[in-house]
Amino acid sequence: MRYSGLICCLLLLFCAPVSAEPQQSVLFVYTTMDEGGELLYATLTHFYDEVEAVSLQDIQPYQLAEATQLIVYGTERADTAKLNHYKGKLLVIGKVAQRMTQFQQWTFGEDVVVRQIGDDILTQATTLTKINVQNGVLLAAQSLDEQLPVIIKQDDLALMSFNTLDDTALYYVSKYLGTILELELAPMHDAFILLRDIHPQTDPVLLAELGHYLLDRGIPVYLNVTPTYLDLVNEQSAVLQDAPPLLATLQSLAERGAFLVAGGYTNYFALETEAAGYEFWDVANDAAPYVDEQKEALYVQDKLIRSIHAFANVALTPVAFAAPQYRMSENGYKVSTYHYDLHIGQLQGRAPLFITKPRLLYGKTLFPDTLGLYDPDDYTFKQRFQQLRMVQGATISASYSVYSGLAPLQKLVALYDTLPNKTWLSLADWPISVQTAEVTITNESGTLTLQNNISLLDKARQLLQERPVEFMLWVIMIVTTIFVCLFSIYIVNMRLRYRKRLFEERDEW
Amino acid sequence: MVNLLFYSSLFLIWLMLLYHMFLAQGGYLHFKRYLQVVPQWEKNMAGNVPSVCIFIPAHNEGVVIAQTLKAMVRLHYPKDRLQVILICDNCSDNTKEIGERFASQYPFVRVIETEDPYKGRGKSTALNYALHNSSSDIIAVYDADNTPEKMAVYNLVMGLVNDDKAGAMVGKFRVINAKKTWLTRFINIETICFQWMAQAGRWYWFGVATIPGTNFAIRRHIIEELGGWDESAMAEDTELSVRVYDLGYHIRFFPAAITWEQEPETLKVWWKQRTRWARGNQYVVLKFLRRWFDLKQKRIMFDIFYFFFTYFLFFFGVIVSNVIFVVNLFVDLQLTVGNIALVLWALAFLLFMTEVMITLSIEKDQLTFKNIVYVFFMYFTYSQMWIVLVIYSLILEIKRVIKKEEHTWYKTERFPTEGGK
Repeated sequence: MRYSGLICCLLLLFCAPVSAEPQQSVLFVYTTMDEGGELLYATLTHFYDEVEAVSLQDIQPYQLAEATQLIVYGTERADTAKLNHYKGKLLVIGKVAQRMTQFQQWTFGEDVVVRQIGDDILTQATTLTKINVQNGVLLAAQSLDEQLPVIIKQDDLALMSFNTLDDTALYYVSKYLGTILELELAPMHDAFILLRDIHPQTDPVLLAELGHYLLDRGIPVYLNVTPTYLDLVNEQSAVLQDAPPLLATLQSLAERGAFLVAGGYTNYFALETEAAGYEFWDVANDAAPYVDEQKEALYVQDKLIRSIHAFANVALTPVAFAAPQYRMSENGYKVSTYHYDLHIGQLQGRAPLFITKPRLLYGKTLFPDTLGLYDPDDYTFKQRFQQLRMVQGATISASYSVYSGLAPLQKLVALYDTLPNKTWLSLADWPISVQTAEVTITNESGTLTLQNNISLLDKARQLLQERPVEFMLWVIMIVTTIFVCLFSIYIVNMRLRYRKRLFEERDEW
Repeated sequence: MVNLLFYSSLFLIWLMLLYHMFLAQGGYLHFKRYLQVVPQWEKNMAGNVPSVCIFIPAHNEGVVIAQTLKAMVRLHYPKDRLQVILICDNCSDNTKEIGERFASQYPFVRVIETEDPYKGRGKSTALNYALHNSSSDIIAVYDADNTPEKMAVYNLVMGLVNDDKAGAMVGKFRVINAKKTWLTRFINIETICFQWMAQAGRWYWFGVATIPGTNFAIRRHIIEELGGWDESAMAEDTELSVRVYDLGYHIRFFPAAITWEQEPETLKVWWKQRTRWARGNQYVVLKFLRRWFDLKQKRIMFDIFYFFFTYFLFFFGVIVSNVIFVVNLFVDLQLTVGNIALVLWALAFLLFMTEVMITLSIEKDQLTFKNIVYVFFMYFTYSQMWIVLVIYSLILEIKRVIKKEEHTWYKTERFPTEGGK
């Protein structure tokens, strides 16, 4: 009896499942990984810890076999024969659905212009494909004379019928994705305000006023700082060391918990006034700074390293990176991930609506600027704000220029106060890692620590490159000091030997 | 624009300061080593003593000439190889009579009086007159207020005997009336500094020295080959130095040959004398700067460029920086240089103090507390006076060139002195 009981237990142990919950295996298949595809993939990383991405061309049968959730993206019709046998949960975004056998019961018509989706009147009309379905319509659009299903879910099959994943489409995709994927979403919105246009010429009094205003209200402060300022008109440059009051303000805000977000190094690629802020983008040609990718990578790396070192040399600790004007090439973003784990802002001027790990950032985290630059006179800003609060779990974040002063910031904060279900984002809760070969900034020990191993020689080299005049003055100072000491020794030596000298010279001439 | 001017002047000033720092180091090293050659030189000199003519150009030097001639007759040099020639140039006092009194007692002392066309045309002309009315292997020149030490001429000649490449030997001069007034104290410090820094330093590093106008010896054949002294030059010593180098020789600084001379005791006399020197050097600089490609010995161009830099660039830099400093006291010029400028100013002052003190410590009993105090105040007073003087002399020289005027020889006023060191 005792042995049979023991055997039963052993059998149960071996037969019982290892985990009580089913494993999610999410597969993202795309026809073309365009801008929309990148944003969609990034959005998915908000909902899932792991998302495998593969092109329709390269997909293998075993990948389909393992996927519990398949998401297919394509703005054009394509040969989807490889996907025809997939029987699991399927979500398709775009026209690529029209040739998939899973949708063969649905009827797809011509494209129609619509000006309203759900209850929202669009600021810009868009084009959607007519779909004839009987049930499962979660969202419909309104053309002149008829309603068009836009988002449809029927059991394990779902379609988001957007012909292009522009900002409007992205909004609705983000809004309904949780419902379609049957995920439990966080009820709160992450929120933050990024203070920008901070550089050595910024008014420290104004910055202190804005920063302490936010901190006094318990709002974490994010300071987007560029360590060097170039005045193209007067042909002058200034670094943080040239602005002791500003440095003191930054340090005092940091001591109160403000987060420093590094921008570029000088804020310029091309030294033209029109190119202000575009340090990693050739705005004149709307292209990467260099055609040669290796040259671009070296350029970006050099600037990022100088930026980090510039902060480290004044004991400031950036915790994240925001590409200037949110413009960088894919190559440039890749280089930035070598140095920063956390990124803030947008990718090529657009951002997912959630905190994500975009493909362009190679698994690093992006905290999106979803509202953009705050302008109190821009009604669309408030409109976007209201829209975002309808997307469960969306990050509601804005950037604010310090040049605007305190009054508009107060209005912005008042707008945020109308949002009850928000959490002010604190990067202290996230693993921070900023690094170069000589500098490391982490919060592994619980507090933000800076390890600065920049050698004196490197500092001298940097000074020579950035401020050759000051370097020369330092050289003069050091050389002169050495000689003054040497001459002093000679004088003392001569004085001590004075009597002996008198004695020796007595018999000479 | 202001920042550009300020930085430019800062760099001009510091270029000069760094160069003088370098010279001071060289001067110190020369002091430590210059006597090492003497034992061997003395051996070579034995039985090989060339003939020497000492030229003493004099115009109304009755106040000082007796003392000078006394020192000459006490020189330690074989008297049969020595001739002391007092060149009376247009004298209206008792210079000639004093000289003839010595000549009557000492056969190696001679008095000559310049005649037309040499008469009353300045030091260079007087020297040329003596050149044509004498003969010897070597010529030494002393100003009428100089009292050389006993071994001075012997040491100068010893240098020429032992150094074939030396066209001229230059000794050191000290100030006999150093303690007389605050001005002579400043001048005393200045002369010590000039010789142990500029002369000794340049000689040590570059093998370059310039004739200071007195207490030097030159090979006769060289001065004859050069056609004598330049009678149009106000600084005939500097001008001659360049030509000696151009001939392929160098000028050697040998501070073992010492003379004592009188320096101006009043500002008025000082001003006139130094204006003449400044104008003379400016003349020489501009004369030879145009001949950069013609000169054989390019290292002397380095010295000419040094004079050019000093008189035209360095002082310009000092003037500009002083003006900016003063204006900035009243109007915020938004200078970007920051506190480093103050540190550099302090270092410049310390450098000045230590450089001068080294040279004072080389000379016996000159590194005194009193002298150190004088050095301190010299920075803010005597040194600044030179700035005004250089501007003034430049204006005069420009006017002279524009108007195509001849130089007017100014004879330095002499003062009665108790003599000796």
